Amino acid sequence: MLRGVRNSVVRRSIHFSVCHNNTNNSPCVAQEKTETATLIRDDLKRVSPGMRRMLGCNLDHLQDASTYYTLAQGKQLRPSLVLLVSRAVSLLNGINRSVASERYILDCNPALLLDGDVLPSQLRLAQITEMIHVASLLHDDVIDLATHRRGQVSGNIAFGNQQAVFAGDFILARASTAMARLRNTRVTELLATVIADLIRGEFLQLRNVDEKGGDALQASFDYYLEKSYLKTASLISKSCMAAAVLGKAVPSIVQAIGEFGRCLGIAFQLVDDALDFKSTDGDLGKPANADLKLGLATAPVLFAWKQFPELESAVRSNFQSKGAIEQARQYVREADGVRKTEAWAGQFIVKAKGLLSSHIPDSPPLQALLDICDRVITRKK
Amino acid sequence: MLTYVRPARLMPRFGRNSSTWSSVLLRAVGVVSQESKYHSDLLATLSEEMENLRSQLVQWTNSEPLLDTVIQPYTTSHARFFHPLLVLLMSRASTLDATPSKQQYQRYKQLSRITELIHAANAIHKSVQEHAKEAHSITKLKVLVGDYLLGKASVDLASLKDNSITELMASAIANLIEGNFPQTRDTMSIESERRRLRLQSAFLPAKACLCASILNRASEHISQACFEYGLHLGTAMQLRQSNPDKTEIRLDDEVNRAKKVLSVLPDVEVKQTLYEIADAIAANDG
Repeated sequence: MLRGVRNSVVRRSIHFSVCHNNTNNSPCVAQEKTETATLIRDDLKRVSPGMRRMLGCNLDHLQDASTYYTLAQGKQLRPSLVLLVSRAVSLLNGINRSVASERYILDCNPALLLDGDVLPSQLRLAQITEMIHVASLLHDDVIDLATHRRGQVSGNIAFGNQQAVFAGDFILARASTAMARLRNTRVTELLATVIADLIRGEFLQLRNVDEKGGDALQASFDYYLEKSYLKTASLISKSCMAAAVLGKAVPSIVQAIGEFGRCLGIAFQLVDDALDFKSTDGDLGKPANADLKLGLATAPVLFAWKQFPELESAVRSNFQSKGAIEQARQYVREADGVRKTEAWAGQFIVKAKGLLSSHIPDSPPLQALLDICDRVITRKK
Repeated sequence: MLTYVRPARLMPRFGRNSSTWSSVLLRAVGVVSQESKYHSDLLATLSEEMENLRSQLVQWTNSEPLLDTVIQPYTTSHARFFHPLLVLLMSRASTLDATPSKQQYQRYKQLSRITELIHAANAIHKSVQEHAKEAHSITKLKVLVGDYLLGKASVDLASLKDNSITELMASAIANLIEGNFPQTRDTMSIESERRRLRLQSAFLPAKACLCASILNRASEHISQACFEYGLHLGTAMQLRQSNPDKTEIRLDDEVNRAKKVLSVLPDVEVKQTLYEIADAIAANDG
């Protein structure tokens, strides 16, 4: 399957040909990190500068505010996923895939090689994805009264609430303009619903539990999962789907990739919530235990509530009462809430990896994506 | 956002004596109502839809009492329902087809809602104050509500499945941001002042009118006329509202330009209404 990969991809990874004549792939394991980095390094380098160019404006202050979060880059997880999915999908024939049906074409082309490259539209998609993410961060920071992000002063502190709100809207407007210029209404549709999902997630975050009776704990877990999907997984899932759509993947692949993104995104949020409990301020680049201070009941707390029903009132009252935060932390410790959260994340990752492996041929992009899945769980920040 | 009201109450308040303005606009709605049963519902349905959005927000915020305070910058805006009305009129003025399909009316309706959502989101977001001047609970709600409206606009735009309309409306949002972004005015050139005026008040109506003609697949000629009508009308509206400014753009000039481009449009009844609206803005007693 991979014999036809173009020279450029082979050049990028010296050990590639070794890997693919090797059935059990063991020499690849040591190369994994290098391969991921090398595979999309050049593309990734173009994401932030591209974003900044898309945010150019004659008003210096508006430009400064909009590009503020593009300077300290963050993990670049979302653009990385878009780029890797793009590469993976291009190995599935993508733009070389016959429209009518190969068996009727009968026009033999021995020189046709599978691409392995990222289309310009997909690079642009990576930029748009990160722009949507950054816009949401700017607004989140206003809403959460944040002070720091990515190791620097947060936008709402650096240039005030009004400018931070404007900057977020501006980024979104430029992202939507760029989206329209991709001239693909399916992609526009996917990303437009992400924008709505993100804000819906914010509203869900105003509460911890749905008011209705019944099994409050189960309902809270469902609510938390839905909120996590809307706030985190939706962007990842749909941007990866959009990458597959742009790469002309068949619908079943697009769907599988969407499901992969959903699982990965939820796992990512779960680990994020676990880390918020574990770390001290220095590790994360932003204050720790932020969630409890904001009154949010995340997975570790929900697991603790499962074991200690008395935690329910603190959850319902958003940890407002005196000592509620400390009580929650105590119960989380006793119920081993953090470890349970991490285990749950692990289940989502297993599913994510399974989806990838069963739909994408074994290849550097696949290995890189699996690698990211592993790193989502093992990361410390 | 209010509960359902008769179209008369929806009209943008305009000047101390609004009777001329609102009667002109009522006639406008009346004209298009006679032409088609769909259009008469359009503004009423829009008001109903905005009320539905408000109900949704009430539910999501658990009946937050501050909600009505937060949406006030929109509900008291002088340009409320102005853009949807323009879309409504332009959708009739830019085509000879007197009986568009129901599906086409859905699209006009969606476009008019989109323009109102963009206007509303901007009105609310630009009212955000700094931490020292505004309770955090209010700031937070303003951001959330504005984002909610923008999210709805995004989804509605995507469902129109028209890349040029998406592009135009998205860029209109960027225009509003640039136009309302705080700037030190003393050092601004006349050119910058003019651009700022257009950004704040002209580009959204211009693009709204243009998009209506795009929905009709009107010719380039007609589309440009629609754009320019909206551009000059919007500018004129703003000049009526604001204090003497430094742009040296004159209200009667803008009104004349708006009327001038109407000659390109086909001679349908609604065209007369467009003239009347322009005249109403120019008139001294409002």
